[in-house]
Amino acid sequence: MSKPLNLLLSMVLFGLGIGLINFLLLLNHQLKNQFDKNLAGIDVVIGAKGSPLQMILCNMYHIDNPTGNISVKEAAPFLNPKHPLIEKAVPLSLGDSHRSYRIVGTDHSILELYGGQIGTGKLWVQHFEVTLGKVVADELGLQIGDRFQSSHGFQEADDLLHEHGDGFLIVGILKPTGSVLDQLILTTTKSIWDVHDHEEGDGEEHDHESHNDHDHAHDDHAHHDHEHDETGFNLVDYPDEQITSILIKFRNRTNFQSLSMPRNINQNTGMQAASPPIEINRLYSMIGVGVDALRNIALIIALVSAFSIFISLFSSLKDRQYELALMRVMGAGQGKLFLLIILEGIILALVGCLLGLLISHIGMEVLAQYAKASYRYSFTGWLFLKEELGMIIISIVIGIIAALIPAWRAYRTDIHETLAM
Amino acid sequence: MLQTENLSYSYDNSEWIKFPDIHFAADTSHLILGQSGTGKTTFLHLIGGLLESKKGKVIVNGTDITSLKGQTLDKFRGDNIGIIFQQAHFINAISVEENLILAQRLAGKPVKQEDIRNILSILNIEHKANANPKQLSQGEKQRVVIARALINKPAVILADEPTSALDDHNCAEVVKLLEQTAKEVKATLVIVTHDNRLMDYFPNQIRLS
Repeated sequence: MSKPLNLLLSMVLFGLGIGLINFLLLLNHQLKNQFDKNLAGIDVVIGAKGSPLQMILCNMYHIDNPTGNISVKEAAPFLNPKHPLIEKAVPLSLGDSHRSYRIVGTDHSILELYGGQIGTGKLWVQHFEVTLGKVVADELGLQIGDRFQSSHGFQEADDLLHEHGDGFLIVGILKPTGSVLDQLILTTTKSIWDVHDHEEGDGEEHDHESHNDHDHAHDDHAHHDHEHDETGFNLVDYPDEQITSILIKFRNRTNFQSLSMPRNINQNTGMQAASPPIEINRLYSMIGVGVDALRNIALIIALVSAFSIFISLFSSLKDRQYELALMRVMGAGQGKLFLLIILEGIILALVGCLLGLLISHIGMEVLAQYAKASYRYSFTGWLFLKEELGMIIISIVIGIIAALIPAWRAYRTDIHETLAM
Repeated sequence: MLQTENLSYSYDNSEWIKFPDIHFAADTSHLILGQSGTGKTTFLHLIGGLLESKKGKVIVNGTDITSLKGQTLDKFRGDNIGIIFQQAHFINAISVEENLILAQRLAGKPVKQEDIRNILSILNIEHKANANPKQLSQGEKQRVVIARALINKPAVILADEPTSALDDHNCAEVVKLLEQTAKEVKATLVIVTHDNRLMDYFPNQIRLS
C-alpha cells in the first residue's frame, strides 16, 4: 500500500469502537464482582432513618456517609445472641478515618462475614488496638507497632485530627480477602466513643450525647485515667451510647418472620432496616440506564467504523486500479485479487480490534488508579474477559464483510479498459 | 511464435473492426502501424489476451489463448507473453526488485535472483534494484517495465507505443534495448505504434486502417 493513511485512520476508528465496548464490559464485570463479593451474606442492615441505599453503601461498601446513629438501647434486642431469628449481628461504629481509610469500631464477628483471617500480629482486643486490612497496611506502609491519631470524618485534614493520648496502636494485619475488609481499620467500639469524648466544638454531623454513666473526667485533656484494659466490654451495658449500624445474618432466610423483620423495624421503631440485595438491585437499575445508553453509543461507533473500513477499502481501489490490472497481466487471476482485498479487510479489522482491546485495558487501569484514590476500591486493568476472544472473532468477520464489495470490484477488474487509458 | 485467424472485434456489436491475419515466427520483430483510432491498442490487447475475443483465434506458441479462461489464461499470459504498456505502471509499495519477483511468482515460476540481476544489468539499472519505482526517472521507469516484461523469458513480447513520448536519441536507445533483450530470449517482438521513426529500424511492417 502506498497510501496507508486512509486505511490507518479507519483502522484506528474501528479500534476505538471496540475499545469502548470492551471498556464497558470490563467495568461492568469488575463492578459486579466487587459488589457481589461485598454482599457477604448480609441479610439486613439496621441503622438510622434516612436513605436506605445510602445506609447500605455506607455500612457495607464503605462509600458515602452514615445516615446518622442509633442508640445502643434501641439496638440491644437485635444484639441478643439468643435472638430466635438472628444468627449473627455485627455492630459498627463509623465516622473516623486515618489518611482516608475508614476506622470501624466493631467486634471480631465482622471477620466471619468477609472471611477475614489474621495475617501477621494479632486481632485487636484492648481498646485503641487496631488490626488493619491488607490494603491499608500496604498503601500506607504501616507496620505492627506503629501508632497514629484518627481524623474526624473520612477526609484527611489536619484540623480534624483527634488527639487522644498516644493514639491507636497497630497490633495486627489481616490477610487479603478481596473484599471491602481489606480497606478497613478495625478496633473496638469503645475506642471510638473514647476518642469522641475528648472532642470540643464538634461538627454538626457528630451527634454524641453526654454520657452520664461514663466514669471519665471530661474537661481535662491531660487527665488520662482511662481504663484501657476493659476486655470484659459488653456493648449492651451502655444503653445511652450510640453506634452507627448492625449487620445482620438470619438463621433462616426464608422464614416468614425474618422476611417481615425489616418492615417491622421501619414501622415500629425509630430505626431503619434495609435489605442489601434489594437496594443494590435498585442501584443497578439506576446505573443500568446509563450503562445501556453508553453501550448503544459504543455499538453505533463500532458500526460506523466498520463502515469506514469498507469506505477506505473501496476508495483505495480507485487508486490501485492500475496495480490490480497489472497483477492480472502478470498472471494473478481474479480469485487472487479477491482474496487480496478480503485479506486486507481482515487485517485492518483484526489489528484495529487488538488496538482497541489494548486501549480498553489501559483505560481500565487508568480508571483503577483513580478509583483507588477516590473510593479505595481495587480494580485492575489486567483482567481479561472471555468475551474478548469473541470480539476478535467478530472483528475478523466484520473485516470480511466490509471487504466483500471492494473485493468483488477487484475481482471484476477489466484489464483492457484499465490499461488502455 | 504468434498467429491470428479471422480476428475481429466490436465494442457495441454493431461496428466491427477486422484485423489482418498475422503469422510471426520466433526471434523476429514486427511493427503494427496506424493512425490513432485504427484499433492498434485493441489489436494488441486481443493478442495479449487482455481483451476477450468475440470472433477469431489467437495462437501463441501453439496454444489457442482464446479458448483459455480465468486463472488459466492469466497464468499462461504471465508465463508466455510479456507486455510493455504505454504508461509505466508498477506496484508502488514495493521495490523494483520486488516487482520483478512478483512477476515471477504470479506466473507460477520459481523466484530466480540471478535472472533478475541479469536482466537489470543488461538494462543498466542494476543499481536501482532496491529503489522504489516512484523515485525513478522516466527512462529508468521504462527500463524496469521492459525488465518486467522479459523476466519470465516469454515467447511473445508486445509493446504499446514504447517510443512515442521520447526524443530521437532515447527512441534509438529503447529500440536497441528491445531488440537486444528480445534476441536474448528468442521471442517474437511486436511493436504497436504510430511513431514513424521506428519504420527505419523494423522492416517487417503491417499497417492498420
